[in-house]
Amino acid sequence: MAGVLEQILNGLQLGFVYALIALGYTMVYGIIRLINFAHGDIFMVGAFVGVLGYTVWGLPFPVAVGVAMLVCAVLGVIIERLAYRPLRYAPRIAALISAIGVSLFLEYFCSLNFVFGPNYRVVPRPFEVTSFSVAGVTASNIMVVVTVVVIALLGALQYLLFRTRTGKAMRAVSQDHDAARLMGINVDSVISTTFAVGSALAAAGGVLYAVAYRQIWPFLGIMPGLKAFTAAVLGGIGIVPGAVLGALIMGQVDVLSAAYVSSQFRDAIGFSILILVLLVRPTGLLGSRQPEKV
Amino acid sequence: MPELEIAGLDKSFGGLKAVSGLNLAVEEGELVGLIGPNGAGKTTVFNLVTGLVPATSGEIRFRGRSLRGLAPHRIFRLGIARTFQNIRLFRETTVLDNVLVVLDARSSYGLAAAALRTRRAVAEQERARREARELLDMVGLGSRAGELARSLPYGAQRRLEMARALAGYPHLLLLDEPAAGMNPSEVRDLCGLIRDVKRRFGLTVLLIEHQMGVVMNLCSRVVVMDFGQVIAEGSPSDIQRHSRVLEAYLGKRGSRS
Repeated sequence: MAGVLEQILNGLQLGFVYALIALGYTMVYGIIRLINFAHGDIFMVGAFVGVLGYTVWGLPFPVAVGVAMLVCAVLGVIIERLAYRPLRYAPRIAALISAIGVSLFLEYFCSLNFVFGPNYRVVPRPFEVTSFSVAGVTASNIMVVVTVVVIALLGALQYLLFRTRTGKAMRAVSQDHDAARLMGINVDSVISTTFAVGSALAAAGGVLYAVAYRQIWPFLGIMPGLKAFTAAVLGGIGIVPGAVLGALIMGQVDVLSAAYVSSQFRDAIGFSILILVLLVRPTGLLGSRQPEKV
Repeated sequence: MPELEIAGLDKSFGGLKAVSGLNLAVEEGELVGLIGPNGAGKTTVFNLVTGLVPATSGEIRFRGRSLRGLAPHRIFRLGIARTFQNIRLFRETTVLDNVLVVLDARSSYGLAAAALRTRRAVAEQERARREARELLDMVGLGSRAGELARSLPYGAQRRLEMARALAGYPHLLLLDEPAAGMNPSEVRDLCGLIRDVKRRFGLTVLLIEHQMGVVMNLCSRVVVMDFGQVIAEGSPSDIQRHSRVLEAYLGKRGSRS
């Protein structure tokens, strides 16, 4: 029984990381109806910058996380500006292909020797890892750090979306792009902000992932990116709480299928969920109807 | 100088000329009706003036300033607001926030000031909230501020669109079929409301409307469009007698069997 609980805690930790990535997918989709396939690679860049920050650059861990978030926020804004904005009024498939191009570019550019290099790197821990057990269930302080950081960021996002001008403008743009433009809202800057916020969250996820799972390389973002995308679709793409719900489910699916089915089947099971959702309930768990058309 | 001056305006969509060589001037304080059969290009004129679609050629000047190449949100901030033929509220947002989001886009304090809750940011937020409430009271929605926009009945949604447009404190208000789908008593209230806000805000109004009662009741001047051009212009009573107008709506006598 304690074993199952421990697995569930592991799933929760992974789910929290997925949530940080899935939020970016769903926010960008909500605002410009684009699946930003480069999002997983932003997560990877965040992981690298964060790890370099507290190792090579000698920054304190929280500062390194902040730097990674900042760098990726800027990266997200640049990607939108260069690769998506010129295609905003083109057929949607054009921006989607552009996104795949950006994704491949980031992966192979980061593989260059003068960037991050093509090899796996083992990530040193930024702090001493300690384990403790409560009622026979063992957990680590990493889990606590991940949980605290993710919940704090979710709270901040909730505040941003529902308590600030920026959030109001984001919601207005996502509901009716043209009406928002015609009512004095600078849609370009709202879209930039959305990319900045989504990318910063992914970066935080990247650093936490690196610290928890201790290996990074330039193709790190692919699998967590796809899992988080699945999570966003599962919860209902474009719906913010849906991304978190979907991510928590995907975290459990990953960990429990690896533990009790077979780790080889883990990804197959995860992506079967994507196919099932698309077949049975394409609007996702929290989506009651077709996402609003812009 | 006219409040709005349109000269030689053309707009083609592929081979279709939606607006073709349109000339139109609206003086400050006027309430002008823009009428014409379906497909005459009336809404396209609104889309061109508000910057939603770029003109193929021609010139639009607002208070003497050319609007060429300006983004829609810039044009809005210069003082041109509109409502939509098919209501386009932020449906999943509260009635209050539909208005607040417009007021907020005008305020000048930065994100940092908002996060730090500086005195100025807090004061501006308070003021925006108060103004939003006043606007909602004016259109009779003060008691429904907390409801989602989509839950409002149809007539109330139209009034909310009006409040949202007024939140930009425009000089020129473009109303696209505000009375569409309303029953006679709602139409009466609407006419009163339009007159009231026009006076209160010192507005110039350009109104697209199919219900002739509304046009005749409100407008000091009527402009008739067909095939993307102005075909007649004059006082409401003149227009009612104008033969080309009757033709445009009803067809030429004897030309259709």
